[in-house]
Order: sequence, then structure tokens, then C-alpha cells
Amino acid sequence: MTDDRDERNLQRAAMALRAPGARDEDALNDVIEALRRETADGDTGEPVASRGGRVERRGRGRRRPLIDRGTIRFVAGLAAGIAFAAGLGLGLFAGWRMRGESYRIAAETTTGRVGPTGVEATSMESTHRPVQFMLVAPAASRVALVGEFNDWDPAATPMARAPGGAWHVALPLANGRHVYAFIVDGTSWVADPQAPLAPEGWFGARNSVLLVSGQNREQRQ
Amino acid sequence: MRTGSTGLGGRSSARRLALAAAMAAATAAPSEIAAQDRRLAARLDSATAEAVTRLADSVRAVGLPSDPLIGVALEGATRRASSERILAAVREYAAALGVARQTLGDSAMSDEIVSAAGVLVAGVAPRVVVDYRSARPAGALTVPFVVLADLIARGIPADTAAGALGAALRSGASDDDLVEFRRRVERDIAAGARPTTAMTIRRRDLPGTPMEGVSPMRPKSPRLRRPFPR
Repeated sequence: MTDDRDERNLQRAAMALRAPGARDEDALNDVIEALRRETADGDTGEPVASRGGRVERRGRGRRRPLIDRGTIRFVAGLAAGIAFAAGLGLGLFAGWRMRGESYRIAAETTTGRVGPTGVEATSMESTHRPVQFMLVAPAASRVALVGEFNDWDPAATPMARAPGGAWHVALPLANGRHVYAFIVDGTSWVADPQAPLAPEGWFGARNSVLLVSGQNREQRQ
Repeated sequence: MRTGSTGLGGRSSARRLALAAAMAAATAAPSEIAAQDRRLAARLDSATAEAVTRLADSVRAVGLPSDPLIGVALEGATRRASSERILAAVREYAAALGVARQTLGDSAMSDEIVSAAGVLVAGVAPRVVVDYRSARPAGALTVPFVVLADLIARGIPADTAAGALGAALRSGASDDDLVEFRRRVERDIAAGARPTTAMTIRRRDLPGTPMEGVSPMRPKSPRLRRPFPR
């Protein structure tokens, strides 16, 4: 009887072992147990160096980096902000420099076309400023600039002819009021058609007036 | 066209007084200030050059700019004007410089005095110069005088032009305003407008006029351009 009972227990155990999934459960239990042991063995809390040279600290159940992602994100954001601010500052500075340069060029350009406006000529840094005079006279064979600045001498400041019949000359003038005119072909006394007329017509045809000013546009603003 | 004969006769007593003073100073001026200006000696006969030099010296002695007088004489020489005409112009200019300094005050700048002398020669009454100074007590008046002289030279009556610019100055018009005003008037005259008409129309753009800011050339406002905005 005992033998029969033992035989029956043995068969039942064999059947249980043959049942599908039984080995899987054991294997799963083995894996869980192995992981539990590994985790228990590795929980030292000591810092170790990773392969990439980054310093990490082994944590309880999970490896935590020495500098966490939030800190890295914060530092990266801060650096980006500083870089942006620096770039913005550099841009503004460069823009300011460019602006000053453009003002200087504009002032010189204004000076260059002064004759026509007649009322102001701005800007370089000395007391004498280059002023360009121009008269369109296609039919003229020669044109001279005369004024108080050259003692009204027709031979002192001949003008050069440009294509299209524009006659021009540039010369430095001191700040102040200047009276001038053009002499065409040695005989015709012509006022600058785009400049204010001088009030004093002592000897016939009127002259023109030019005011050369030390003020520039930057100072006015 | 103005000539040297546009003199001081009939002007205010102040101008006559200034002319007399200038003439007296010229007559009595010592010759130690300077020898004859070489420029004058090279271009004028000796008597004319000496007379101009004396006038210039006397003007310089009272602190007035003398270079404009030399310039007038040299301009006359270049234009082959007679000695009498040159001397008349120089004397008239010297007198006008004296009146201009009197009306503007001792603190006036050289360019202001010369410009004011120019408008006085052009027929503007000295009270206008005083009026401008009171309208702009601290600022320079060179540009207003240059603009005024230009308007008169283009055919606008002196009183009309002086009144318009004076009102603008009293209302705080800047030099830029006046320069732009002159440009527009000049452009209108060149386009065929009568000088007085151009002045009347363009003065609306100046401060101090009843229709200030209402210009026929001013573009319509966006509201007027688009009566039915979406």
C-alpha cells in the first residue's frame, strides 16, 4: 500500500513537472531572484567613473548622475542666455558704429552738394569745409567760380566740365556767409540757380549766397 | 535789378547817422592800421584803392567786419565798374553795417551783421531787424536774413516778406522751416507762379499763420482716402 501511494505521488509530481508553463515560472523566479541578489550586492553608494569620464554615483537601485539633467539644462539655458545677450550687445554696438559712420558719410555728401541748397553746408571737423559748386551749362566753353573767397578773380577757380555739360569745382571754405557767382565764357555773370540770391546787387546781375555751417546733423538731433 | 544807386536816401535817420559816422571815420581814419590792401592796389586805381582802404580801416576800428567791403570793391573791379560806383557801393555797405550792428546789438555775430546789412540795403526798414531780434533773442538770425533777402530779390515786396517771416519767427519757426519755405517759393516762381502768389500760398506752411499746416500740397489723410474702411 505504501508503495502504491508513493508511486501515485511520484506520478503526480512528474505530471506537474510536465505541465506547460511550469518551467517558465521557475525560470522567471530564478531571474527575479538573481536580479534581487545583484541589486543587493551592488548597493554600495560609492562614486564610480563611467566610460565617458562622467562622474556618477551609484544609487540605491538606480544610477544617478553627479550633475542631474535639470542642472545641466539650467546651466545650458543660462549659457545660451548669456551668449544671446552678448550677441545682442555686439549687434547693437556694431549697429551704433555703422550708424555713426553713415551719419559721417551723409554729412560729407551733404557738403558735397552744397552749392544748390545755398543755405547750409555741413560738416567735417576743421574750420574749412569742402564745398562743391556745380552749374549746368552745356553750351559754355569755360566757366569760372568767383566770390569773396577768391577775391572775385575769374582766373583763380576755373570749373571742370563733366559729361552732360555740368561744370563743377570743389574748394574748402571757412564757416560763415559767402557771396559768389559763376562767370560763363568770360563775360556772362550767372547766379547759382538753386541758391538764395544775395541782396546786394551793387553792379548789376545778382550773386548767390552760401552759408557754411559747422553744425552737423548729429548735433542737431 | 538793384545797383549801387539803391542808397540810403529816404531811409531812417539812424541810417543817415550811421552813414555820416562812417564817412567821418573814413575821412579821419589814420593810416597806421594798415597799408593799402594789396588786393585792392592790384585791381583798382590808387585813389579808389586808398579810399576803400580807409573805409575798411574805419569799419574795422569799430569792430565791424571789413572783409565784405573789400569784397565789394574787388567785385566791382572784376565787373569793370567805375571808381565812383565802387566807392558808392562800399560807402553804402559800410553805413548798412553800422546800422545793422546798432539794431542787432553788440553781441551780434559777424555773419548776422553782414546778412542784416544786406536786407537793409535791399530796402528793409531797421525796425524789422529789431523785430527779428526780439522774436529770436538768443538764436542766430543769419538764415532768416538770408531767406528774407532772397524773397525780396525774387520780387516779393519787402514789407510782405518781412511780415511773413517775422510772424513765423515769433511763432518759433526754425531755420529749417525757413529754408524749406524759401525752397518752395523759389520752386513755385520757377514753375511760373507770381512771386506774391507763391509767397501767399507757401506762407501757410509756416508757423504763425492763420492756416498753418493746411497746405494745398499736403496729402489727404488716410481716413479721407478710404471713406469706407473694411
